Amino acid sequence: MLLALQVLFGVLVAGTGLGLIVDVAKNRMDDLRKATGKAWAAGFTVGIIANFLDTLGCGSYAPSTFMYKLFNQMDDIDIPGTLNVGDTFPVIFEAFIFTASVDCDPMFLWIMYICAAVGSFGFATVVTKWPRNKIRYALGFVMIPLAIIMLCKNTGVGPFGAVGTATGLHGWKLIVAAGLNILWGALMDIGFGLYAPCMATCLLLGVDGTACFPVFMGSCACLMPACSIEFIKTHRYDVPHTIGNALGGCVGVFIAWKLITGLPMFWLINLVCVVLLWTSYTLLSAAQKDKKAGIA
Amino acid sequence: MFVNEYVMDRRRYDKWATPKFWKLPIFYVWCLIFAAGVFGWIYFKSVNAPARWQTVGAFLTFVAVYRGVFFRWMHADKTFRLTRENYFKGKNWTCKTIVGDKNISLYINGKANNKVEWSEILRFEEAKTFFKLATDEYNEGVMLDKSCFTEGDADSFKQWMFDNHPEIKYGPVAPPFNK
Repeated sequence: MLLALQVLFGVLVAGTGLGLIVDVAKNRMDDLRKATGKAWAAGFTVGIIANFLDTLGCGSYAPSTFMYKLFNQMDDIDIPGTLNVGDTFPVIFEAFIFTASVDCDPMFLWIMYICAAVGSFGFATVVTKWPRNKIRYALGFVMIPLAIIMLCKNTGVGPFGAVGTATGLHGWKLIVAAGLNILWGALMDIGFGLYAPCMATCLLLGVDGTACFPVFMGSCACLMPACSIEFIKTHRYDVPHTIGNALGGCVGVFIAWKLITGLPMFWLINLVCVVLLWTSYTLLSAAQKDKKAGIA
Repeated sequence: MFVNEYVMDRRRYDKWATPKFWKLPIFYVWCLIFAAGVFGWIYFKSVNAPARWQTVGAFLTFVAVYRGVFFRWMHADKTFRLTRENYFKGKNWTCKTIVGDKNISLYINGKANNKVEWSEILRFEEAKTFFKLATDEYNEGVMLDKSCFTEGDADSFKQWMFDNHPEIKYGPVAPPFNK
């Protein structure tokens, strides 16, 4: 009974991304037939690498765009749609396997998901007025001390206490985490990734290193299909690359999942710190680039 | 010639863009997912299965409620608010549609915005409070509020369509959008 329910749940979760299959079967079969082996291989490979990095918290859009542009694989106009639609399956798969393999308080997850959705939908008009570059600088600089504090906690240096082991949060910590997840959800509307700040929030409030993963992955999985629907409707995605990306992405997620769940906690926290520092670097360098170009 | 003019506010946009969720076939799939999620959540708790399986149940119930009930409304509302903020300085905008013999002209805040040829109109759909001249298989088309005709009226427009454009298929709007 237990196993049957677990399999059923996996199928149900996978089914939430069915829009792509329906659209391809109805409208894009010709594109599918014309696809070359090279396009399939490229989509599959990019999917593995990008979604492996995504599962670690580094994000997948930047590496995917870089690889597609480097090998001149498709029209630039199709890249956003290909990434959005192609990454939907791996992200849902990510959320499912981490939720099903890591102990995390269900109510805590519910609250965090609701907050991410409220942030993304309810505060979109507010954050679009905010100065993007200043937020990049602020988040980029905040990530550095956060990573250092986590490293200190992990190695037992300084007055920061030990790394948390909670599977959920309660009381004021839950309120803080929920409030910040609204903010991270809202910032997604102006192009900020949710993974790294959400991961940092949970870790600093005392959540166990692995228990953070279903929180930020689920938050993203809930918000992501909103963009995909528009790209599917307007057919603005490349079919072989999207399907290759979706299949390869699931493989990449699986490899990363094996790595993360197999790592001792000490090394996992160190890995998270590297991800936070990497995110800080990407935010600051993007801010510098836009500043030089005169974009606020 | 018919002229239809109305102010696009949040209420009107949400009403036209959001279907009645309980009339969508997919809603019943979400109901099943919700039931499976709640059952799983309770069952896994009662057999003392690891907390991670309870969280999968929680995840499914959340996704079912969020996608099945709230998502379309939230998405439409966000689209409206962003459009108003980005293109109309935070103010509602006026839509004017002039239905002529040769084509349909659309004006936003008094400025020409688009022209739609009659050959682009696929269907003439009627709802309780509006007409839709559908241009594609999705929820796109020229919307005319029945109560906002400034030249002509709803009944004469309908008759005019039957007389002048019999080639355009007439029918009711999809039930979830019949408001």
